[in-house]
Amino acid sequence: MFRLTPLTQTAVLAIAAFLVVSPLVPLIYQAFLSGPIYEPSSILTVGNFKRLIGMPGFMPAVYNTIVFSVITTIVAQVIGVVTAILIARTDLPGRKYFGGMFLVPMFMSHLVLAIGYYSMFGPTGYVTLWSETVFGGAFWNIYSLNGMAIVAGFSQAPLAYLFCLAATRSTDPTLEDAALMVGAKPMKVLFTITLPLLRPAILVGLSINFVVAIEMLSIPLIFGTASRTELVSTFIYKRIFADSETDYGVVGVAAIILLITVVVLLMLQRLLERNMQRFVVVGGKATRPRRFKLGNLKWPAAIILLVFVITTIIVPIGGLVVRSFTLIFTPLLPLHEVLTLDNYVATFSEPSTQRAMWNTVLVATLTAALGTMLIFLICVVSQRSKYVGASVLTVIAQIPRAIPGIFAGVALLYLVLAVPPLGWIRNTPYILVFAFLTRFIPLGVGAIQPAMNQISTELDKSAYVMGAGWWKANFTILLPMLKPALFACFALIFIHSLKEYVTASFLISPGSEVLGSALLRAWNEGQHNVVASLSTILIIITFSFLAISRKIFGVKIYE
Amino acid sequence: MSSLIVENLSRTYGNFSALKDVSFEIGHGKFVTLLGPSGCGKSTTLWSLAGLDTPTGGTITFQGRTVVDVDRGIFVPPEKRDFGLVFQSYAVWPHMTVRKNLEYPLKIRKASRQEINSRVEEIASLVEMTEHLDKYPYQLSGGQQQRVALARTLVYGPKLLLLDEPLSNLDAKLRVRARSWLKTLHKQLGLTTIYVTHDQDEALAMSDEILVLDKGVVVQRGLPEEVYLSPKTPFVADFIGNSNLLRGKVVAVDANSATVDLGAGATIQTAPSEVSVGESVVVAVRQEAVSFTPPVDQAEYTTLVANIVNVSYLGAVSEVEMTVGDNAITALVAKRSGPSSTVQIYIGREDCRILSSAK
Repeated sequence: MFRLTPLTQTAVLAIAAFLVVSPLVPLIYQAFLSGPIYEPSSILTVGNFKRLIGMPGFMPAVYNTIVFSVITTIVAQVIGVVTAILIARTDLPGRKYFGGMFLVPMFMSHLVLAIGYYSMFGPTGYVTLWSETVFGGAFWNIYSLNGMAIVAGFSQAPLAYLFCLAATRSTDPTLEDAALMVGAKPMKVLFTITLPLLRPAILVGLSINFVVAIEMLSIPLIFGTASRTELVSTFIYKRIFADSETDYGVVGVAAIILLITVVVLLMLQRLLERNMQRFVVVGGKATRPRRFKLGNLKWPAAIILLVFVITTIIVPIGGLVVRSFTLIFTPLLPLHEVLTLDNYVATFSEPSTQRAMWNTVLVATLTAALGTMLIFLICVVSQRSKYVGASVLTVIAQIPRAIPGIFAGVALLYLVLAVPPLGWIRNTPYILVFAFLTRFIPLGVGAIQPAMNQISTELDKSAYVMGAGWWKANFTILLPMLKPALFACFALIFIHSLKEYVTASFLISPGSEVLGSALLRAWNEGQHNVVASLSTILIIITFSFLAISRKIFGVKIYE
Repeated sequence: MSSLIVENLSRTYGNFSALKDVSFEIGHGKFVTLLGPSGCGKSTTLWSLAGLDTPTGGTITFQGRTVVDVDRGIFVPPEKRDFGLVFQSYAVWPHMTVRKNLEYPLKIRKASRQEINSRVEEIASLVEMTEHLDKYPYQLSGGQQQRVALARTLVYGPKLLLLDEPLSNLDAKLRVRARSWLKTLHKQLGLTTIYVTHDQDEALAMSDEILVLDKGVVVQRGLPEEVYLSPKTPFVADFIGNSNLLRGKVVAVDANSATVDLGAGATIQTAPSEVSVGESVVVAVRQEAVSFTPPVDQAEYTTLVANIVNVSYLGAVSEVEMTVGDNAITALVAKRSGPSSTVQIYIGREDCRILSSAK
């Protein structure tokens, strides 16, 4: 037993390292090859870097990406912080309802959200047309770079909201009481104590949203194509898909540049977090924080928030669902005349769609199940053992955070192309399980590790004292206590597998389609009715899963 | 002259009463301690005084100004009371330096820059934190944070100082030092102070007066030595003095003493009490009042034969657990007793108090 333990721990490290590192090697190698990785005639070169920078449209795309990411982050952060404070810390009417509604976008695919926005607020969108008939024109233009960034900011606001929400719950309420005691009025307390104490959470949200914005494909692709506004993500996407012949070297180089950017940003975030030590406080007695009274602002604030929830969450999502039951969705025709199930008949009669549905559920289930097991093992080995490789494993588990979704798929594709024995996996859904597993390791670690750190090490240590071996102690003590966290991890990975479309779109082939990639394909082919019905199916699967996991396992994600 | 008047203060949570009609008055410049075990209502009282908790009944008047009157719907919010509260967790703002922490109350009061600087310097030297003014709280030790918390409360000259177990997060040695430091500071400033603690040593050492609370009721109020030497109820006797509580029946009463039968043929003489023969009573005897050496004037003492059950060596003293009849008696004695299993003990009549209730 004693000698077996380090061996099995090494096995966990090896599996994690294979999943995370193996796709990266061919991606980086490809960046320095003159031709495709599978071509024996390719030679080592640095010419790809020069060629990428010299490509028409690349530098403007870089500029656009920076502008887009900055605006998106600011919009998301401002909305997220304000709503988190309104919902968690004030007597806002209907705050419970708002809290629930604000989580909805977190469960949705970005692609579905983007399409929802497009079909409602796009140039021929329902609301845009309605506004034209009523006001004689629309006063928004989500086709521009700024418009896109604002929409992206709306879609990322819930993430910023969640970070602040967690922080408002963990701050010591006596810090605010102390300010009241020395004579500060509640509004003064809010601005001098409450908000500054949220700084770490705001910063973390800021950096994560910035990374998400840089990588974002959905909104730039849906809105930017028509207005010819290219971002780095769409630029790369088109070099891979739209060009008649993929320039593998350039894609590899772009991947490295983006990867380095993200790594630098994440390191910066780490550095900032370290300086945040002074925000860690000794907790006092467990008292509930008091709610700030909004007074006269109570109803105006609630109405503004309601309008926000309706326009950015209910209308785009609800509109898309309604749209899926019509062939022509326009305010010019009364709704009851155009209602039909034709889209669904067409969608279901397509064998590839049927396959996509089953594959989606299969891939999500497999990824979630394997992922939860693997992540539990990663967490115990990296956090609860004296294993020499523990710290290496901790780092490996975080690497996928740095790999943009676009390249997670490309990297795996290169790996399969470069290593012929792996070829069998290519036309099966299992290649997606592989890709998603890698991609969601940090997500799952984030769900399990905090819960594990809450469990005193004395509990497993007392099991050692009584004669249990390392694995025995972990499986009999830690595992049962972590059950809620493991369920949450399963649910989180399942939902994210459903949401995923970027990684999948590079890996699918006939037989391995999933709904996310089918959606993107249907969009690219201009079949907007199919897009609406596929989106609706995806929404139904997502929320059925959420309802079931909540009912049966008591899993509450993000709450 | 009474500075603070609390009348019929009550606080209920659903069906649970945390405070039941608590009333007391506190004179100007006094140091008064609310003492009791956790859940006795002492913190609720303090938080009601601070305005951080809303009482469900009663009134609070401070220097003629009504800050709470539940019946008349008066409730002055904490920021308008001009009281000071030092929190158990200190609540020193982690995102501000010590200096910024101290400046904060003065800025709210719109003091001039010059005044702010001089007040901060003055208060920092009072709490001996001058050299740490530009540090962040996480760079300070617990004791230093505690002094910052106190300085921040004193800097704006509150009219009433409320202290919520401010020493409980310090280690034992530091606590004793901080205790005498606080006491000296109170003498210097003459500020009316209410101190909440569950530590009887702190209460006895620092207070002008002690209010003992139990289950939301003030059970005894008095000078420290009164509360210690003449507890009125078994609860107070047990909580304050770690007294032995001996159960028995009164067999004789006269002007100078009462005699109580402790069972198994043992009787004890107590201080005079208004009880009648045949009554079941509880006699409180402090642990250090039980002596192993024969006193000079035996007439004032009861001699008992006790069986030693256990002896614990505590350093300066030993704790000897014994039985006398059906009662257990614990004594604190300076010398370790010998190996014998029975011993003669002597208890002075004035050290034995019959408590009001024996039920």
